Formats: sequence, C-alpha cells, structure tokens
Amino acid sequence: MLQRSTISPDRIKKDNNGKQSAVFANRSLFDQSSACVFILDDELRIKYCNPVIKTSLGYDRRQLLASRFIDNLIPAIKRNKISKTLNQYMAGKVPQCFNCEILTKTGKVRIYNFQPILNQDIAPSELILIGNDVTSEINRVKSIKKSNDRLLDIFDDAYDLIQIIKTDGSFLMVNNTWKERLGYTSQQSVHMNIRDLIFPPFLEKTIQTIQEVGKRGKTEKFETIFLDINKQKVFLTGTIHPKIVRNKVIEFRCVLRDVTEKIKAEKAKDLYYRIANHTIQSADLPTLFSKIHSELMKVIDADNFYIALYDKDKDQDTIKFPYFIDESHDNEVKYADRKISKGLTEYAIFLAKPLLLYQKDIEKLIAEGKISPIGAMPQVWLGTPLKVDEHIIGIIAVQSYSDKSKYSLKDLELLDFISGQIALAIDIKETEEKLNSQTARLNAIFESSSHLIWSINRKQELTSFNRNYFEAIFKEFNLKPDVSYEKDGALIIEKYDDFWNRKYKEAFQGNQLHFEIKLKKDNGDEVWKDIFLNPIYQPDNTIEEVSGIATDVTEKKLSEIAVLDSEEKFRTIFESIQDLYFRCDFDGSLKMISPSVHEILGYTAEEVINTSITKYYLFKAANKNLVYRINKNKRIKNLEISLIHQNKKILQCICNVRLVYDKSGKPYQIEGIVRDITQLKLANLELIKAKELALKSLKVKEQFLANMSHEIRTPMNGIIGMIDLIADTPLNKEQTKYIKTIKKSSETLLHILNDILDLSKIEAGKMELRETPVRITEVMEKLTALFSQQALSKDISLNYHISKQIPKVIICDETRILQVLANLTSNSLKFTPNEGSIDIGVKAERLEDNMLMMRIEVHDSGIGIAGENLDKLFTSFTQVDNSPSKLYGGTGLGLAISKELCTLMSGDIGVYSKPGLGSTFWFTFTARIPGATELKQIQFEELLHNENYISLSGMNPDVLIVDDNSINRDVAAEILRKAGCQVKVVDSGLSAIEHVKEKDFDIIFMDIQMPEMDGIEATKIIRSLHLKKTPPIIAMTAYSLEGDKNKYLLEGLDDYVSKPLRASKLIHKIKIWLLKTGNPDILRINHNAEIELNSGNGDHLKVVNSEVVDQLRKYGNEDFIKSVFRGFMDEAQAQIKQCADSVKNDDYKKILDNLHTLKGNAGTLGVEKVAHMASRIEANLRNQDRANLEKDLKILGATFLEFESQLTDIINN
Amino acid sequence: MGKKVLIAEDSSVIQNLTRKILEQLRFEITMVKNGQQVIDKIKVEDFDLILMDINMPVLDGIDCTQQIRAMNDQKKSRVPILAITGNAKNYSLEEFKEAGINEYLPKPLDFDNLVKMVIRYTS
Repeated sequence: MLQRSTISPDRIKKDNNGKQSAVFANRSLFDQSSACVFILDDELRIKYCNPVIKTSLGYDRRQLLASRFIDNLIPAIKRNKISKTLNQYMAGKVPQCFNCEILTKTGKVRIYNFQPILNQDIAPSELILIGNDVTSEINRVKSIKKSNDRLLDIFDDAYDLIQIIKTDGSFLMVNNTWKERLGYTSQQSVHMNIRDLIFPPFLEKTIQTIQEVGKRGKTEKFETIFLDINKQKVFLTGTIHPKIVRNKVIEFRCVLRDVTEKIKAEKAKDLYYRIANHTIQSADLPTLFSKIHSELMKVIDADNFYIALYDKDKDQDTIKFPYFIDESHDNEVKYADRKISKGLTEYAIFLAKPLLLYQKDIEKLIAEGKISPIGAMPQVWLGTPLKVDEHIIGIIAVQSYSDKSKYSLKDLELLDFISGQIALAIDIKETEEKLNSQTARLNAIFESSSHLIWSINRKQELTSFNRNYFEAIFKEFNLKPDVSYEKDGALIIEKYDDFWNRKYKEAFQGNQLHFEIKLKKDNGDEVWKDIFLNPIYQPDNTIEEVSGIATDVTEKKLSEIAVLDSEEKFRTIFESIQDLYFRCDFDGSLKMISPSVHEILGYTAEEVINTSITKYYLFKAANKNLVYRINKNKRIKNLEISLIHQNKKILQCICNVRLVYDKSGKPYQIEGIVRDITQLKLANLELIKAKELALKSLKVKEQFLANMSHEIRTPMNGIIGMIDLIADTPLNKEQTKYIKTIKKSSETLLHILNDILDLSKIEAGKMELRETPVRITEVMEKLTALFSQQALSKDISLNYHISKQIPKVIICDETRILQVLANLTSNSLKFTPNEGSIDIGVKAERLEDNMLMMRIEVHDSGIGIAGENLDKLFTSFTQVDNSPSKLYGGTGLGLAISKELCTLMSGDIGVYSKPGLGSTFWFTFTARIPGATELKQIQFEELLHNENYISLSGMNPDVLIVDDNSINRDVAAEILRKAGCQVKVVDSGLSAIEHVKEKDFDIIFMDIQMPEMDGIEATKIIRSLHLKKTPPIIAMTAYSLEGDKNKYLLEGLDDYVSKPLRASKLIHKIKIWLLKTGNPDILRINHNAEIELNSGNGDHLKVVNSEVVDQLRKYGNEDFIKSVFRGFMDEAQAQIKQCADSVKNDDYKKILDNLHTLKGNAGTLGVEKVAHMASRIEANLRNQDRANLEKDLKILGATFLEFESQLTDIINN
Repeated sequence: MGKKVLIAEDSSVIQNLTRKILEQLRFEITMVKNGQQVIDKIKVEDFDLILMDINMPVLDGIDCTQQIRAMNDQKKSRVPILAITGNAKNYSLEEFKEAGINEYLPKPLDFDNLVKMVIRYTS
C-alpha cells in the first residue's frame, strides 16, 4: 500500500476551488511540505523548488532554479517521454498523477509520484509538480509482484496437475502441467466442468469425494481418472483442499499426480508374469497366442493384433502368421502363411527394432520403395521384434485403422517390454511341442516296431520294453514281464542264465553284440531269435543300461534248413527229369543241362555245356528277339520251338523260359524247361482236321436244312393256297372230306417244317421272341379250336380254366406260348385213352414289379410216365434224329423245342406223373403286365387289327401282284378277287414298273425273290419314279426269320406278308394299308366295328345264370339266396329309377355311378342280361355317346322287368 | 371268437352278400359304407381283414388304403386289405399294389374266390 503524502492532491484540488491564488502565492506553504515541489514555467524551467529537495535529492535549491527540469533531473533515456508528458499538461491536458525517475545529486535514480497542477492564474501559466518519493514503495510492490510471479511459476511448473474448481465444478484455474497433460488450453478450461473430464465409471465416486471434502472442510486424499483431449485415460492421485471463507467452502484446490505410467508399468509387469504363467499352462501355441492377446487387451487397445513368425534359418522364404486378428477380417482369428515379401511386417523384422509408424511414415516407406503395401493401411502401426538370445524369431504388432492417437511411444515400450517374454514363451512352447512330437515319434517307433525291444540295468532288471516284447514273452514263455521287478523275462530261463549273464556283461563293458539263439518255448517248440545287445551311454560316458532288440527268425532259420533239404531233392529231380532243363548266359552259352539231353537230342551233357544254345534250335521269325523278350517279360511260357536232334531230325517242342537272378536281384542267366511235343503236335493236327471236317459237315447240314425247309415251303404255299380255293368251290361230301384230309396233312407237314426251322433257329441262336399284347383267353380259344376236333374224335373232354388273377392282356410271345402249349396238348391227346379228359389250368405264379410269372399246366388222365423216363423227356434230340418216324408228334422234338422256348421266355418246363394216374406237364414263362396307357393303346391296336370286325365289303381296291411263281400268283389273285379287289398280276419287277406308270394302284404285293430283278430293286425303282401316288408295297416272302422283316422295311418296302399266303392275311393287310393311307370309308367301317365289339348282341346271355345260384347255395340256404336277390332287386330298381331321373337333369356322372354299381352287382349275382345292358350303356356314356341313352335305359328297364318276372322260377329251380 | 372282418361297400347288395357268406363261415362282420367310416372304425377297433370297395363316396378305397398304411399303430397299418372293384376308375394292378392293397377281387364277384382270399389272408 502506498504511503500518503501530507499534501494530498485531493487537498490541493479542494483548495483550488476557493482560495487557489492565495495558496499558490504562499509559497512558504510548499517550503514546509515534506513533499518535493517543483514549479515550472512555460518553458519547463524550474521557477521554484522547496527545500526538501536538499534532503531528498541532495540538490541546492539555488543550483536548480532557472535550470531546465528535464535536463537536470530526468535520466537521459526518459527525457523525451517526460518532456512530452509535461508539455501536454502545460498545454492544458487534464493532469494525472504519474511516476517519474529522478536523478539525485549523487546520480542515483529515485522514483517519484508527481501530482501535476496547472496554475493559470498567472501568465504565462506555470506547472506545479508535487511529488513524493515512491521508490521504496515501488520496489516493494515489485518485489511482492516478483514473489507472486515466482509462486505462479511454481504453480505452473509443478509436476503435479493443479486445478482450482468452484463448488459447482467449473474451473477457476489450472496450471500448465494440467494443460499440457490433458491437452486443453486455459480458455477451454474456463468453459469446462470437472464432470466433463472424469472417466465416466469414476464420475460418481469422484464427485462424492469432492462433496464430502466440501462437507467436512478437511483436506482429503483423492484418486480419479480423467480423460484427456484424445479421450485417453489419465490416472491421477493427490489431495483436495477446500478453501473456506467465513465458514463456507468457496473453492477446491486439487493437487494431482499423474500416475498413468506407473499404473501402466505395473500392468506391464503384471502382464509379463501372466504371460509367463500362460506359457506354462497353455496346452499349445494357438491357446497361448489367444491368451497373450486377451492379456494384452487388458493393457492396451489390441483389437487388431497379430503375431508373425519368421526365422530365416528355418523358414527360408515363408512368413507365418500363427495368430492374426483384425477388424478388416471380421475379427476372426486367422492362421496364415505367405511368401516372404516386402510387407511392413517383414520390414520390421529385418530392422529388428520396435517401431511406431503413422500412416505418413508408412506411406513414406512405400514411396521410398522400402516396403510394398499389403492389406489395409493403418493409421498407426506398432510392432516389436520377438527376440530369443538376440535372435529375431518374428514380431508382434498392433494397429489401428481409425485412430492414429491410439498408440504412443509408451505403448511401444510396453509392447517391447513384454515382447521378450512372448518370444520366450513361443520358443519354449515350440520346443516343447517339438520335444513332445519327438518323444511321440520315438514311442511310436518303439511300440510299432516288429522287433522285441527292451532294456535292462546293471542288476539285470527290466527298465523298459515294448508291446511286442511283452506279447512274445507271454506267448512263448507264459511269463508276464514287468519293469524293474524281475530279471530279464525272455531270457530268464534258468539254463540260459549263464549265457545271458555273459552276454550282458560283455555289453556292459561297452561291446555291441549280435547273435542268434535257439530257445525252447514253454510248449516245447523251438524258436530262433536274432538278437542285438547295445550298451546305452549316459552323457558322462558311463553305461547304466543295455538295450536289446530281437527278431523272430524261426521261419528264416527253418527255411534255410528246408532249402538244404530241397536242394537235395532238386538234384534228384534234375537227374531224373524227362524234359530238358537248361541254363545259359545271355550270350547263349549253356551253363547247365539236365542229363535228359542225351535222350532227347542225342548229345551228352558234357558235349553241350559251354556251347551256344543257338546250335540246337531252328531260328524262326517267331523266335526273333528272344533274349530281348525274356528280359522284358521276365518269363515266356509255352514258347514253341523246333529243336535239332543230333541226327538232324527236327523235334517240335514247347518250353517255358525265365530269367535267373543273382543274390543282388540282377538277372544273370536264363533257364528253361523244354518238352518234346512232336507226337502231341501230330495228334493235335489230326484232331484239328477232324474238327474242321465236323464243323464243315454241320454247316452243310444246317444249310441243307434251311434250304430244304425253304424249298419245301414254296410248293407248300401252293398246295395249301389251292386247297383253300378248292374248299370254296362246290364239292360233294366225299370231296369235302378228302380236301379236309389233304389240308390237315399239309398243315401237319407245314408244322414239321416249322419245327425244323425253329430247331435250326435255336441252334443258330437266332430265335427271338416277338412280344405282343396277348389275351390269354384268345390263346386258349385258339388252342381248343386247334385240338377240339382231335379231342372230339377220341371223346376226350378238353377243358381249360384261367385264374381270375391274370390280367386280360399280357405282353408275351403268343406264337411261342401256343407252340409249347400245342406240343403239350397234342402229347396228352396222344397218351390219353378214349373218354378221358385233359384239363389245362392257367395261373399266375408270382408278380414282381410288373413282370408276371405265368404257369400253365396240362393235366391228362392218360397212362402216365414212369419216373425213370421223366428226365429223358426234354433232352432227347438224338433219338429224334435216329427215328424219323417219330419226327413229329412223338415226345422228342416237340418237348425239346418247348424246353428251349421256355428257357428263352425266362421260364421252365417240367412234368410230374405217376403211371396209371395221368401226367401233368407244366411250363412257366414271364409276361409283362401293360400299364394303363399302354393298355388303351393295345385296345386300339386290337381294334385296328381285328380281322373279324373289318371287312372289305363295298370296296374294290386296285391291287398289283408281282410274283415270278405262277402258283403263288394265282393263289393270291384268286383270294383277292374273291374279296372284291381289282387284281392285276405280273411276273417280273420290270413288268410291275411298267404297270405302275400306267395305272394308279391302291396296293402292291411284291415277291422278293425273282430272277433278273428282285423285289427290293423293283421297289426302289418304283419309289424313284416319284409317282403322283406311290401305293404301299408289301413284300411277299417265304423267309420267315424275324430279322428279315426289318431288312425289307429298311430296303424301302412298307410291310411284309409271309408265305404261305392265306386269304385272311392278305385281306387284312389290304385293310390296314387302306386305313393307313387314309381311306375314309375304311375308317367308318372301323368305327362301327368298335362299337360292335364293345356291345355284342347279348343274345347268348342268360337272364340269371343258374351256375351262380348253385355257387351261392354252397354258402347258405334258400332264404339266404332269396334275401340276396331281393336286396339286389330293391337296389337295382332304385338305381334304374335314378338313372332315368338323372337323364332329365343331364347328371351323367350320377348315371355312370349307378350303372357301374348295377353292372357289378348284377354280374356278381349272374343277372347277365341286366349286367350286359348296364355295361353297354356305361361304355357308351364313357365314350360321350349319348345318342341312344334314353332308349337304352328303357331297354335296361325292360330287361330288369324280365329278370324280375323270372326270378321266382329261377330260384325255385 | 371268429376273426374280425370290416366290410366297406357302398352297395347294400354286395354288403349283404359278403356279410352272409362270411358269417356262414363264422367270421365276425362289421359293415361301413365309405372310406371315411373305415378310418373312423379302425381307429377304435382292430380288424383281421378289410374288404373294401374301391369306388366309394366320401373317401375312395385307394385313398383310404393309403391312410391306413400310413398309420402309426402297426396292428392297424398292417391289416390285410382286399379290394372289391369293378375298376371304374381304371386303376392298374400296379397302382393297387402301390397303394398297399394286398389282393383285388374283380366284379362281378366270384364268391369262391372271395372266400378263398379271405381265409388265406386271415389265417
């Protein structure tokens, strides 16, 4: 505080107000003043100064008067400034106190505070300066200020973070350290609150502490964590002082010490120990890496962390990343290897220094070409090499892609600090793993060895052994060896004790032993062991243990003995061998020859040895390069050679030769054994000749048969055709009978012919099945039609029964089935006496998928067959050949063919019989059941081909017949003329060509075999004419092999008809082809036929079939039958009524339902006429034919009435 | 007790006929009129055999058979099923077998065959 002068400027001013001039006038007042007073004139010359200046400044008043104030009293450097100030006041500026340095007489500087006063009462004005010496005061202030500054410096420069906060938490003041550490400026801090700084988890606790300090008014210890401007944690510890004014806390002064690094260091240390701990506990390296990573995460941000291992001594050019976790890889742990390149990782490894690199550093390295960019560019990258004994094995690194301030040098230090431990851990782990696998490997070798391995100590106690050892000892000596408890188990057997003692002793003396011994097993057998004993040297070169390795060499040993035996045997054989044994070098020089050489070639063994083998055989092309071939193939078997006898005769021989190997496995000789086959060869030649002859004659026979049957067919064609024609002419009874006989005989002859053809087909393997849809009922009808006459003549009843399980249509070869069936039936007819019976049963044996195994049995009441003859029945080809009289009709040929046919149809044939009780011939064959759609197609085809329902009536097609054989020509022409065709016949292909040019024909029948131009060629020419309308051309041929048909079709013919020609066949073909070529009349006829087929006329049906009634009687009495029929009557009545009603509503579905049920019920009860009518209406409805519906329903009604009226009679009957 | 046969038949004529014939042979007969009733019945009672018309209202014989074959209870799902059919829907033999029908008796019905089949499948 400044000390006041007695004359204060205030007082003077006051005085100024009233009696100013008096005051100024009375300068004596100034003389009394303790203040220095100067009065300056307008030129700033001193007009007056009071005496105090003598004491205070050392000047004499008189000295100073009239001198310039500035020049005398102001230090030179301040003169300008003061002069300027004073002149301003002089000029009228409102005066203000000012400090001014004044020089004393002795040259010292004092500081005065001057109060300037301008006295304008006189002119010119004068300036009064009243000054007090303030030097000491100023100095004191200065010193106080200085000390204050010093305190502030201490405050600012303190290592501690110091802050003064108000009770609301806002900052009053912070020191430099605070600012530097936290990164905020003073200005920023002014607007902040301590709450903004505290690491959120610590906020509550910290505020609580501050509040408590406020409450208690006492200094407290204080710990908290702040976040710096980069949001990094700063750990702080210190004190908080409350400042109390008038019992009230107004602010807090906090002195805090940054302990972040200390804590980090502690954590690092902790981490260090933990990593060491994990090294011991982790089972493998990946686990260890993962543990290291999670530990690291506790200390620094290690979201992106990896370990790279590269040891240039071991890894050559592959860098391994055994642990790699990175946000750019979804944070999944990755393991990878890659080829060493110029990545940042490699750079760091080669540099072998801890590195903290920012993006710009990395970019610079890239720009300088020191590294290449690999993967995403981090904003900051931190890596430390892993060193083991100054040897770099890799690095660990962390990086951040988002925040370059994430890591600091401190983190680098930390990473570096723990890297040593990590490196050590990896090294230890790796070594450990290697050791483990090494041990495992050794153990595996030890255990898997096929040898017995063991070791013993000096006390001859077992110290280790492998499983083989254990098993062998146990098996062979019935001892269970155990470590350390017994003497060496194998070899403990007393009588060998001395031997083993000696051997072990030798081994313990440092000798390696190898010997074979023979041991006697527990069961008395001998075993041979090959044994190695080796001393085991300790690191100090002493021998504490001896290892033993043994192999069982019993077999080898025994075989050695056996070899000796066999050699003896071999010698005997060699001496007595009849074939020739030889051995020679590769140059042919004979080295060994059996004594038999003398007998075979006439030389003695001595003569032959060391001569060239080439001397003894004929050189032939087949024997070219013999040595080369032997070498290549190692052996040659059955080589035919010709040997030269001493007497120059040639011997045909066969030999086996092969290489002989020396001990090292290299071939060095050729050995062989030669057999003289001259006699054999001759015999063989004879045989081949005989066989060729036989084959030739067989072929001739076959050819003959085929030709003959073909040749016979042509005249047969004529005979049968003509018979058909004669039969149609008016004949008397006798003639008719003869004609029938002729016809029958010719057909029998044709049959025989067919059988022979079949036989030759079967023999030639040319028999193929023609599978077509077959109605088995039709087959049976055909069969009975075939045999009914014959049966009738012997008064034999011929019956058949078809199981209901069998579908109506099956796919099989009808011809062949009929053939077998006819064979069996005709057989039975032959052996069944008059008035007997033949019953044929058709059954389904089993169904697999859609293949049905059919079984047909032909049972007769004939004489039966004795058991011993049963087997021969189906295998008697030769008998047939020997006795031509039985060629057809006997059991021989027919059954043999049947058997073949059944086999062909995947079936079988057989018979069971007892003499006197008749026989049952049976056969099976496989048939396919057609699917639903196939069935429909079949039904359509049947309609198309049904000969009975299509007639040529009303049509007169133009037909051209081409055949060189006049009989055939006439037969065909007559048949077709009778059927209403316009027929033209020609005898050659050429003639046919002329005719088609002139006239349009609807169809041409073309013989294939014609002289000059055959049918195929004629057909081709006709086609090449490109007529306006080329008619279908049908081949006529006696060839009947199935393959032939396709051949003709391929050659351009449209269809095929086989000879002998039959009226029905020819007419049928015409119909088919007219239909196919689109004759609408035929189509219409066909359509009508279809309806006809479905409906029939029903005349033969019964109102009620009494057989059904009889069948019902088996299951109940009359009442039962009556009730069943009554029930039917009621229901049927209702159904017929419903049908009639539904017609009105056009509800055809309902009609169908009713008719279907009615049909089934009526059929079941044998009400045949009703069933038939219902079925017919149903069929029409299903075909959308409603034309006659109402009329038909009326007929149905009438039919039902008829049934009703007759019912009573029928039942009662 | 005789063997239990469930007859499913739309037409009372065949119903009565089969029932009477089989009762004569000491079978115990239960009658239903459609496939749904078969399912309902078989759920509460076990049968030794089912005679089933294929062409039935509500649930036809094929669907009904398939449902029975799919039942969990093997005693029910393995019951022999004989179909009686006029085959209005033109099913093929394979389709019957596929649906799980053991045997089919065509209409018109052959009584001897019916009796033979019933006896074969219940013994």
